[in-house]
Amino acid sequence: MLGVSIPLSQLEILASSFAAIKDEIKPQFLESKDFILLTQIADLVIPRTDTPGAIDAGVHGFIDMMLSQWASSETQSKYLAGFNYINKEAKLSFGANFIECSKGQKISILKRLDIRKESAKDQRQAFFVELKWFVITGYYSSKEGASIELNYDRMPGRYQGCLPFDEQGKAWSS
Amino acid sequence: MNNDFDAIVVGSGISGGWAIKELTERGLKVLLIERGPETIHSDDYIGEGKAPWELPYHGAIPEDTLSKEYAIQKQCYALNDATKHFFVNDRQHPYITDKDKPFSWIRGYQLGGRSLLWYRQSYRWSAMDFTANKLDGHGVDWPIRYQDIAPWYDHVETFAGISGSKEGLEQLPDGQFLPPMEMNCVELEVKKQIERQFPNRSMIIGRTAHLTKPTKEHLELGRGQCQNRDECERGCSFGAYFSTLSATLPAAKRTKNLTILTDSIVHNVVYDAANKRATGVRIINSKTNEHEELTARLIFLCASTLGTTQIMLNSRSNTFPNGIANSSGCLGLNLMDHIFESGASGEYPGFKDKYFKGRRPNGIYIPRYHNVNTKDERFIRGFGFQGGGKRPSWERAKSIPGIGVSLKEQLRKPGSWTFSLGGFGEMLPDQRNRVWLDKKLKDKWGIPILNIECILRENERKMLKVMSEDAKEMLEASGIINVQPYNNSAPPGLAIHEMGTARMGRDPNTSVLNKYNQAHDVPNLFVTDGSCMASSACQNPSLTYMALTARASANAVEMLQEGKL
Repeated sequence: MLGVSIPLSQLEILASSFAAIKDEIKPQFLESKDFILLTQIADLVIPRTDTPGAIDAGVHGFIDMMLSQWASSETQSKYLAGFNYINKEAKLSFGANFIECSKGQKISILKRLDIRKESAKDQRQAFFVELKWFVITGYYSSKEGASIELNYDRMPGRYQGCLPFDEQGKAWSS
Repeated sequence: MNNDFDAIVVGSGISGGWAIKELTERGLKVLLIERGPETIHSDDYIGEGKAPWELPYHGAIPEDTLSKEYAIQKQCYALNDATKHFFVNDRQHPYITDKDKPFSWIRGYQLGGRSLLWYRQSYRWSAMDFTANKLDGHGVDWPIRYQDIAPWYDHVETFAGISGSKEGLEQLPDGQFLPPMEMNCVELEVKKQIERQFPNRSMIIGRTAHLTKPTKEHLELGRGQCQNRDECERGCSFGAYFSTLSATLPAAKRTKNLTILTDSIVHNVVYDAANKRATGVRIINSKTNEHEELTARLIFLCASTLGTTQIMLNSRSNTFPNGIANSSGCLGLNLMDHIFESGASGEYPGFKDKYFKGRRPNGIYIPRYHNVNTKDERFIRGFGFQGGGKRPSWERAKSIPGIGVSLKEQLRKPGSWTFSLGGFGEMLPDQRNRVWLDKKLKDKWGIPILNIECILRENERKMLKVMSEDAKEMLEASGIINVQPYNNSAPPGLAIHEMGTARMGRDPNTSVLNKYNQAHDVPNLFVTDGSCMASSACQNPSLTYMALTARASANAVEMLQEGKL
């Protein structure tokens, strides 16, 4: 379970192409099939555009690390069950595991699973929204997401309460 | 240890810090006793200035640690991986509450106490707050009036550095202020609307213990200007917000009259029945469990409301079988906090082309307006609002459907401006809200642990309801849309303004302390933390603790010099 390295060639290269991934990440917690699933989902949630995406920011490695070191055993089990549930949904719809589906199929699965907790029938159905939130928090608290995609100001000095937005052009990450 | 002290101060938070400053500056040799470890200004601010990605787990506390070690403390917004060393471990520091009557006791056991963690809002009480008990009969009459404490507010504001605007409000007196912080566009607009449509209400910038423009006195202590990082709870090496470590401790240290003893838990105050005086304290070294008795001519208890009360209840003698200075039987009764978690929030549809820069560590304040000039039929006393306008960033993704490029592009821009108001209301003194020592259970140092019973009653519940209604009404009148009122029942204690369990009063039969925070029963015993409060008002209380402590310290020294103690 530990120490499986994922060669880039095994990751489906998506439209947003993460050709410039610097390092291969060895998952600490997830098995390789789940880690590939996580990686693909992270990329679909926050793809690379003219700015880094979730994979560039190492969000897949971050979530795996968090599951390994930060999460309780209940949370760990919930995520493993959640990944299985996503595969089950993929099989039901397209007769294949999630990572074997086409990009369009993947997107349609995730869009279908993008259900608020309140309207979800059970915890498993609400899982993707939680995973999506994990990707989003991981990304916008990473160096790439917080300081390249958005603006980060370590030492603001002054507070100015009413400036033209155009002077900044994008949101503060914190 | 050398036992040659004029005064012992127990506790090093906001009140203890003021006691050591005022006593040492008047020439007394002071021993400061702190139950927690030493904390070094700057060195121990382990998360200071770090970006989220530079913090372990991006600042989140591992789930098992959070649920097992911080089951209560985790309710406090300020707890995160970079601040958890300033919070107690709940497993090691238990207390007892009834399952149906939770009380959240948020604590920081270290040199500096909770002065490192406080939210720094600093408001004077007004004349009506000191007469409220007398007028409506709840609690006992305060033995002081506003004019008794006013010069001491001046004194502590000048030294601490309080930023704020002068407003000329009867119910929220002006003070010695550093320049006010700036409101943002939405706040200015909401202020205009509220003040135009609700004649007796005003909205002001929060008054807060931050150096917006340090004076020579501040600079000499090594303090500097606020940098608007809004990460204060992690500690601030600029000393830009007031804490024991940034301000009162260095001031006391430079007198050369201060000795500090950390990791030392006070078990009890020692009483000499023959001389009718406290002679000192018995301490336990928290690491070695060794006991020691230390003596001094004056004892100041500043161990926080419940900490001080626990020590006093545990100081039993033939004279005081139910706790030192407790001939009235009031010790431990009348526990209060502020009621909160009721208000409203919504969106402001305009100013989409406007944004802000910097993270202002402060919000806005709407001073109390009920029962000021007119009488409200629904409840007595009153509440104020804290709140403010902001433009949420990526965190709003929690309620945005979709994935991919469109989501990412949407999140690159900030969301609409939002505005929120949350009430802070007065809780009445009620002797049924109380703490007492458990007869069986002791902590790992052999000290009986506290039982806490404190619930909201009718007046508080009515006030909470009106808070949320008023907030909704004001927001809607100000052009805020999608207004969501809320009235969650926060457990008492969570406002972290607990107070009242060793109250001041005029009558020794119904109060523990006199007008100088001096125990009616024990002339050389002083209590100046929140436990001394005879009522709670609705303003954040720390500034009043500072002023009462400074006043009590000055008077104690005077009495000592006159041979009265």
